[in-house]
Amino acid sequence: MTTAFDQYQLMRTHHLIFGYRGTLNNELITSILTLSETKLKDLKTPFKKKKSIINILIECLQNILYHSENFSDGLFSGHHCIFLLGKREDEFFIQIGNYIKKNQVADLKSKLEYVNTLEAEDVHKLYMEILDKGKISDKGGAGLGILRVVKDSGQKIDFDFQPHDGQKSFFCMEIKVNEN
Amino acid sequence: MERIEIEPTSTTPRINFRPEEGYFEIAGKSLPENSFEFYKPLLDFMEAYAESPVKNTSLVFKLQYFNTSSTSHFLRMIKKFERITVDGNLAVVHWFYDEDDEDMKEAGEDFKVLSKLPIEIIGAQLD
Repeated sequence: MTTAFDQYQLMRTHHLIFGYRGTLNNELITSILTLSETKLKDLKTPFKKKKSIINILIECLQNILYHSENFSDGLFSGHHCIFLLGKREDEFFIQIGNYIKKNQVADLKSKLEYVNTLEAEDVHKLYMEILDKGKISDKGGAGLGILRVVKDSGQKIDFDFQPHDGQKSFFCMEIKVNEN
Repeated sequence: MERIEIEPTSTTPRINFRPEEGYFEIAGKSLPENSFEFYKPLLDFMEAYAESPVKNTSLVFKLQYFNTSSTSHFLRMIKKFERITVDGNLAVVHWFYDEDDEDMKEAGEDFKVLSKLPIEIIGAQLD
């Protein structure tokens, strides 16, 4: 049997501050944001970094509501996801995973690959362009949300797709934020 | 026009629109799941106001957090009031940010680049 101590040790060795697995709705997102903010304050995280992390969480968690595929694990049915906030040495990491339609994989992959090629000033330039025009740019095809995530992270996004069945894949993303 | 006063929730801001004074304030957190549903009636109200505004109009933002879908609506709000100035009336945006919050300050600067309205960016101690 896996005891609470085993789970505790596992979270500790994985440098986890806080984690959530299950279905998501806007009310739960608000609770996750409040809890994350409290934990970041406890860690005396600089205001600017705390704000960046919360901004990233807002975009990523709401994105799950808009774009993830519903799933039922027998207990809950809805927007299933995993969310982990952790800290390795001087770097925070946010791991997010959720189901998407298999036919969305190629498009999402190319968007993420594209934003990962952009320098910080290009990210801001594209963000402003999309905000001003209120539509997707011809150049990228990325939305405001993902650009804000990249802007707040200041680093490339790590991502992966795990095949689930004929219709669904599990999309995993890791976003890092330097502590200082 | 009637006033609009909406109490804040954990995901939507406090709205205080006093058209007879030309005062329009949005304060708090703006993370609605459906930002169109929340902001569309407010944008319609602002559009109607812009047809016959008072002499001086002030659009005030005092935000802590917002999602990117709210950002697009803030820009639409600002742009709705650009037309007020055509007939010689005045409209100013007051973008408040918490003194520690560089991110919110930069968001105000972004709007300044994208709008013809004067935008005053003001650091303050927000609640």
